[in-house]
Amino acid sequence: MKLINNLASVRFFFILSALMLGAFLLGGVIPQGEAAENYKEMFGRIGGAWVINLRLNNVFSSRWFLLILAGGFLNMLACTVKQWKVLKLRPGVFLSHLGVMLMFVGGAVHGVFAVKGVLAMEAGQVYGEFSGYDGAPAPLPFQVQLKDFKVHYWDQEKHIVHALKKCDEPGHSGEDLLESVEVVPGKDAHFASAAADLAIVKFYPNFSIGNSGPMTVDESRQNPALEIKVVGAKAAKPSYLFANHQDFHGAQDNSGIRYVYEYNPGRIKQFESRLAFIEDGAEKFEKLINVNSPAKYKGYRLYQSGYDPKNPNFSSIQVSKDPSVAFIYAGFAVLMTGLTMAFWKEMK
Amino acid sequence: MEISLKASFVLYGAAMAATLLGFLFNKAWKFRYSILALFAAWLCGTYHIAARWYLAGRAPLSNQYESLIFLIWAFVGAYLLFRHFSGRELDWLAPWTAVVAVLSMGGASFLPSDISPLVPALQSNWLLIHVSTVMTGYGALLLSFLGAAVFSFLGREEHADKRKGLESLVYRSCLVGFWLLTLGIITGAVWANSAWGSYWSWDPKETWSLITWLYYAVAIHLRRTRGWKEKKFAGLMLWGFILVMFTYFGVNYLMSGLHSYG
Repeated sequence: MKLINNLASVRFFFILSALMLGAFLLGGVIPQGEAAENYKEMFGRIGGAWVINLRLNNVFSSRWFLLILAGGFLNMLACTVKQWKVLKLRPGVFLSHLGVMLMFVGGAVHGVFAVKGVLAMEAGQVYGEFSGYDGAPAPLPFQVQLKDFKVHYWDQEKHIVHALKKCDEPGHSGEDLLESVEVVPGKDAHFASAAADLAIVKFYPNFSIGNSGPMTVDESRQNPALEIKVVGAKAAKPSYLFANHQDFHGAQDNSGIRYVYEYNPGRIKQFESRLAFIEDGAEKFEKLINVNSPAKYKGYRLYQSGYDPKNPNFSSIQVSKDPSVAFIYAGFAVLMTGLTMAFWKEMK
Repeated sequence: MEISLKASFVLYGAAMAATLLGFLFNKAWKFRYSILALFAAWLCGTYHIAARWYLAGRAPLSNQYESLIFLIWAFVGAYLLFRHFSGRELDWLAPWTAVVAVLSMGGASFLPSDISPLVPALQSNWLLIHVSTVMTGYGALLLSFLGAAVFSFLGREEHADKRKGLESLVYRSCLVGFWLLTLGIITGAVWANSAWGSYWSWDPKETWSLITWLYYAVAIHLRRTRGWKEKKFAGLMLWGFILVMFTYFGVNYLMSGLHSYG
């Protein structure tokens, strides 16, 4: 009984709370999960080594932190056992503690039974396993195929060409903006001002120089460039405008007007994958998933987590099977009920 | 829409001015007009939030500017609600509430206020539930902070009545704030689980929210089990709100994580 009293004591609660606050602060201030070299850079050779040795680089999965959590669970348990007698008097307090305890249980179940990882999918391919966070392959009790992947935009990417003219006023060395025009690759761009019209020959998403001349490395927009020609100019040699290097190369018409290219990437509205779930060689069902709308099958949940701007056929899917969710959600419900009951009494 | 926000700002200023003029001319109506102006300002704030919601086609809670405007609205709403249920013993806090609102709105004016479309992760009904709950909780904790700050300056003898009402306000608004903060963390966890398959990721915002939550849990326990009331509890509320501010602002600017867009 003395042990239960000690474990249930408010003093023990305050000590554990202080330790937890300290641990949370360490985990909240020191960047977590970085490479060892980064900590040496941040804290010096000796400081970095201490960070690694004390597991301050992974506070929330360290043994000492789990020990504090275990202490918290015991404190709650002992307190709940003690308060069982006063359940009728203070049901709100009892339930609040029970709710937190259920979350501790959920955390333990999560640590032991949760399965998580990533499925790096290519359109058309069928997968029967995913990659766990430790890098090891983990089997799925079914197969899944990425039928197609789409990115939707609030607004599409825009190519804008600005016409600039050197300032004529004496004492001013800058440039005046004559006009800005949104252009479309493959079409002529008309300028209403003194700037000459341009033929927008081609768009290079990621410009580079290959063996046979200008080329695009891939579809990513890392170095967007436009190939243009001044319409009607005698020396209609193609010029290149670079969004990332507006002062480099560029193009000028005969009247000294300079053209500058601005690339506005489209704003992504949603990205979604159409998945087919296959069992025993037969397709069971299809599901369109996006962020906030996962697919569920046989205890597994598949979440849309990312994509590759360089590869339009790639989709990154997070896989999760977590039996702790039921405990955690039950803990949430019991905690909120308990707090409502406890506080309602005091608010009156 | 912007005119309603400006009107709200002017009316908060009027709430301060009404009390000041009342004191200068020794008028009995000083707090009555202050509260009327405060209520009118809150109504303008309500209109602004509703209009922005209508124009954006979504709840205006997706960035720092929108959430701060909502927080101010929730804070003033919490004061008016407590004042309504406490009789007239909190009337004299109205100009102080207006001061906090004016300063916060001044701060909000430095933030980008464009209405922009939502990134995929925020396109969920949980945005409204989670952010509004947390911001209302912060509003209640701000009220607790304001009460604690004023309480700390009140003399013991000459302000015995005011101290009693204020002490009760500090504690009750702390309870409301803590309850909402708990609900806010829970709704955030449920949302995270439905969006990413993980209810807790030890993201900096999550970790600092937990630090804040644990701090207020300890403060409530200290009051209930160790009798930390009046000045001691007021001190806890003053320090607690620094944590709230760091969780709300500091984490966004100093640490990157899953909440980086907020």
